[in-house]
Amino acid sequence: MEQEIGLPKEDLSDLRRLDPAILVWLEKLGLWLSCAGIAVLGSMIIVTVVARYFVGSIIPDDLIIAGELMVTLVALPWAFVTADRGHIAVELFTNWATGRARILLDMFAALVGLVMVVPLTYATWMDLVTAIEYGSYFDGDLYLPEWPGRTMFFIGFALMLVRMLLVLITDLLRLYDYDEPKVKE
Amino acid sequence: MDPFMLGICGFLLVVLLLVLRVPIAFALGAVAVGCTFLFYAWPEGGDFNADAGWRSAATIVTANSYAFVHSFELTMVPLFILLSQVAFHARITTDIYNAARVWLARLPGGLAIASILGCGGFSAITGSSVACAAAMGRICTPEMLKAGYGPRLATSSVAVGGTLGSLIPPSVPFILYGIFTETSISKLFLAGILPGLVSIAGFIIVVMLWVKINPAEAPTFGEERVPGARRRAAAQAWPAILLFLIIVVGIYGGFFTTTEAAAVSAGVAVLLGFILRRLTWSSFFESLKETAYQTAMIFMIVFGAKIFVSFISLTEVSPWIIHHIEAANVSDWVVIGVICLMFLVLGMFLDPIGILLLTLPVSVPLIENMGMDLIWFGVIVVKLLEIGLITPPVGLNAFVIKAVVGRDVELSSIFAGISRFLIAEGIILLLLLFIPAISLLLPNSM
Repeated sequence: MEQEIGLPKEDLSDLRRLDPAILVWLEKLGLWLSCAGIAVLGSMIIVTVVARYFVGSIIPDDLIIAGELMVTLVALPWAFVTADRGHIAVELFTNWATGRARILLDMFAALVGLVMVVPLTYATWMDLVTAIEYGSYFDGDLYLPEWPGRTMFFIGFALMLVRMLLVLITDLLRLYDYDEPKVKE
Repeated sequence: MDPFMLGICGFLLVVLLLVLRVPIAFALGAVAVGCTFLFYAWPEGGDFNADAGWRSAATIVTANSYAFVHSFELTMVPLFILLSQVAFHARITTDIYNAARVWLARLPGGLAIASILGCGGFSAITGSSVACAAAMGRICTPEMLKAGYGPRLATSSVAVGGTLGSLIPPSVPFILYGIFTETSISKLFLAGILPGLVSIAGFIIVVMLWVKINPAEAPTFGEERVPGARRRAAAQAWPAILLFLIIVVGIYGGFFTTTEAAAVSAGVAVLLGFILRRLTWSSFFESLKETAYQTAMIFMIVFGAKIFVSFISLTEVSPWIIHHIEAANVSDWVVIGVICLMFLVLGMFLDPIGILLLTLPVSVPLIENMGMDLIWFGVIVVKLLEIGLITPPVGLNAFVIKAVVGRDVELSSIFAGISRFLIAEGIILLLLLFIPAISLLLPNSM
């Protein structure tokens, strides 16, 4: 949340050299689908409140639909945030680092991120396959299937995984190209 | 492998990764995934079995995380963020400041007092301290500097006022605390109101004393009095007051759940924005985009923390600490004092959400074991996180104000000004600790 309103962001031009158009497009799509999810979610809850007070009924399975929307709106922008290097980190202890040391720290952060994201992507894929094979559904009025939310969850992780690998490769290239500033004699 | 040792190693590894600038979400998540794998793959006294470790870890980690995100209650997070974004773009957040400014500008230190009140008003609609400092800093600080206020007062009053964002509802830290401790978020919101007002009063007293001792810090200026200006300025603040009332009266009166209050207030903010012609389609989409971005960012951390908490509950770190504290027979207040000290020290270096989610697995079982109220403790925790936002060397709010003022004011001047408010913060913290009724009066009257 602390990506402060209107504060200037770091110039990312050098950090986004590997930007396949299809991935950038998918990341933007993920962000916009998340925006749509937020709008639909808010509208649905308002309709539920109004219906409860004035009509005496509610949208069936509204809690389940809200949960599905929540998974969608949370997971889909992860790749966009990763590409933007927007994940919150504590910078105080590494402010001393410049040049090569900073790139190495960036690479280390991406590697740690992969330790988290690779197993989770695989596990969410397995969960998705299970949900489809068993035809899992939510217990409610509409018997909504589980696969849409699980698909969104998997896509969120998978896109983030691809972007993280690209971030790591970009940092490797930055390290390879890096020239130490020459000291004036 | 000994589960307790694994738990301790996990904690230390997270801290080490944070120091090495690994994003909080990845540090928590990677350690949790790795250590949960080790926990099952290498059981105490057994042989290493990678397959068993992987299967158990994958099941626990994904089941926990998916079920956690698939939640109706959590939907209040994006909706409250949307409310703050829309209110910001529609300039509703600054209405209270504009009104307070017209009423108080002629008083000694009036602009600084108006800034603090404006931050309080901003906080009543948004849930982020740093966003509050960033937005109000851009408006109030340059105005105070232009009016001849001392740089220390002009910057520190907004940095400190900004911290109210977490305490006055709606508040993202309260939501996260409520979810992780399974306490009522509605009650937490109500619990934050009186401490928020006490904090505002404390900050205003500091400004008044400061200006009394050193009048040169805040020269009064003879702004021309326009007939009816005060009445008009107060009347213009109605959208901000309406939104706050929807949230508080809606929850307190039992008309809405907290999640519904979030949706309704966000919807009303959008409507007001368009009706008052303060919101355009472009700024509305910008609000949605910022909301999606911030929600994804926060939930990545929350997601990592959730896996980490699941891992810590597998180890026996919390029961071990509770057992040893009971054996040592120390007073409850000593334990509370140590917890406060831990938050204050961590607050000097880490991000508030990171501190909150890293420490809850250990601190909350302790508090529960002592039979203390978790709502009251939630207020104490958020107050401590607020103090962390203004203490050097990290003091996020000070850096935000520094970014606003640029080279005009040194960072050391901002921290020097903040030091005066820290005395008040200390007194307010003690009041909240020793008079729990300040926090519990409203939630207990529900």
